[in-house]
Amino acid sequence: MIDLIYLEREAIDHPRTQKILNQYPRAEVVECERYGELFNRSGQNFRLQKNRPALILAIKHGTKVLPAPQEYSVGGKNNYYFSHMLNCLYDCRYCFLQGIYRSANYVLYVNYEEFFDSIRGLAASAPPGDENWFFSGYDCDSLALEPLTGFVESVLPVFEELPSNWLELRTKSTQIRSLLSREPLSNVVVAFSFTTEPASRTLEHKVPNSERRMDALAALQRHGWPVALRFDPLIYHPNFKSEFAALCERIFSHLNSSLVHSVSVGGFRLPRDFYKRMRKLYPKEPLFIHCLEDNNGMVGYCAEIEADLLEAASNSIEQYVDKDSIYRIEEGAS
Amino acid sequence: MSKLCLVTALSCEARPWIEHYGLKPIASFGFKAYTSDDIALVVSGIGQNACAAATGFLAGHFQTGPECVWINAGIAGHPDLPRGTVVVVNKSRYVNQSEFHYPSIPIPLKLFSAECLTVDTVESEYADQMLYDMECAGYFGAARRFSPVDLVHAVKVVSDNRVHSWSDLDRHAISDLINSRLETIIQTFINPLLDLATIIRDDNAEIDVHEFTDRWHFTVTNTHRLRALLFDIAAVNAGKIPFPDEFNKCHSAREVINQLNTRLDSLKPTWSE
Repeated sequence: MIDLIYLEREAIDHPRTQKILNQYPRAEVVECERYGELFNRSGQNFRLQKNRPALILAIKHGTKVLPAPQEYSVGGKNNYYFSHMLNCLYDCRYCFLQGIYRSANYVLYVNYEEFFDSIRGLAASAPPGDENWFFSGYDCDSLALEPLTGFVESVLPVFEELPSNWLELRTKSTQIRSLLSREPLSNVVVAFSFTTEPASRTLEHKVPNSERRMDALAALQRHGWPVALRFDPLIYHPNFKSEFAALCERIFSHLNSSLVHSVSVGGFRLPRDFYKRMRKLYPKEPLFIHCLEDNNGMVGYCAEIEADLLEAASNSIEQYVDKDSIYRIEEGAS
Repeated sequence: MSKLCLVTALSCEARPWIEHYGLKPIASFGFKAYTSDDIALVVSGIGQNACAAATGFLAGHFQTGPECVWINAGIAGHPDLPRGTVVVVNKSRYVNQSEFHYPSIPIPLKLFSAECLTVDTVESEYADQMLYDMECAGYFGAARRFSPVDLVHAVKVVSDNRVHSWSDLDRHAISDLINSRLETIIQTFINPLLDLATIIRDDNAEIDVHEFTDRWHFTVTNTHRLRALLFDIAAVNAGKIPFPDEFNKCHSAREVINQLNTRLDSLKPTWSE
């Protein structure tokens, strides 16, 4: 429920702004010159704001689509990411957004078309034959606020025009109506994130439970969408191995495993500054206390635990999908 | 330690709060201030500079922590809103400055909200659709240094508009006006903020270490380390911390610290749902 909307002056006349405002006729609207006047300023408390995030409608200036680190690749030659939105509906305790931003308000950049122009430009400039991947869902969940943003509905025609370029929609959401109401695209992969049941129950707040996510995933696959699985971050806890095996068994009982595009696994790791900020926000959170160490500015599980987690996860996944479809993500942020 | 700090410009604005919360005056220089166990109030006098100074005074005198909810409560003018309308300030600026402050409102907003322009002299033109007061900008500038902006707010009761002049109101009428809206402000705005602030209060609750420091000699640095270790152990051990007797074999504070580190490392993650 949105009851407070901040509106950047430049975004006021954008048709998408008006459409969104019409969806929330009872919301208080506060105008601002630039969204940076209120988003991410010092003295804000992410945890308190998460109780009732406001929506900020803004225009994205500068670079819209950025190169993604190679270790995030799922097989593509050129990898890019973009964020039409900052912050997420969900409240996963391991999420690095708590460390990046001081503010939990949702920033939605309404000038989608400029993102699309950047994507088209990068696609056109790539050498013929190169596989370009565009990742959505770095600073937000790609689908969770789709009824509000309509972003996915807008971006799909762009990739319909660019069949040799790939789009990944990363999500934990069951908001799949816009995908089920149209013909699937073979170059758009819907990637669902999962953690083991104990981790999900305790750390993934406001997230649809894993059974509902599995149902959504299966519905998308039946409809013809390429789907993928993301086990990132892997969270250490007692009985991880058996819990992860059980998770895989449940997921793959919903899916045709031969049609799963890719599976990636990654350990829990955060840049030191993000970790410090998250620890301060949640000083009593066991996740931030146990078994972590700082390696050259990245905080994560000690090497032995991380290797055990990756090994156990890979072994379980290999029972269902080809080894070549499994990608290990070993650097960067969770 | 105060959970709620109230800042008013006038004594007549303060009186309903003092009576409602049963606040007692304190002996102080410079500003009239009142307190109870959990609540402190200061009367700043008129003007944004006086209000900023009074806010700083209150924070210093009562050693407020980051979990404290701050409210600037008072009257304000508005061109059209009826007298008695309660308004939460959602944007604030001093008339001679271009910078705005945007209070973050982390609770469901059940009251009307509006921008507030802080002016130096009483406003009677009401040129724009906004609140007019004489303190708000100074208050925000000071109070946001002491608590997160999410807990620092101003709530105004409309006292004058284009139809009803401020000059109609004497101090008794102002007190009556505030008093008539007190319950609404407390129930719909202050109490939900106080509830939310308990998150920070609980997390900042200090662990009592005196049974350890009485038995072994801890330096100041090691006392901080001891407190941090006991806090972490409690966090991963369902709130339980070890008893000092468990470390009877330790001859020094350093040994106790080492033992506690080992204890923390040995605990497996236990998550409560």
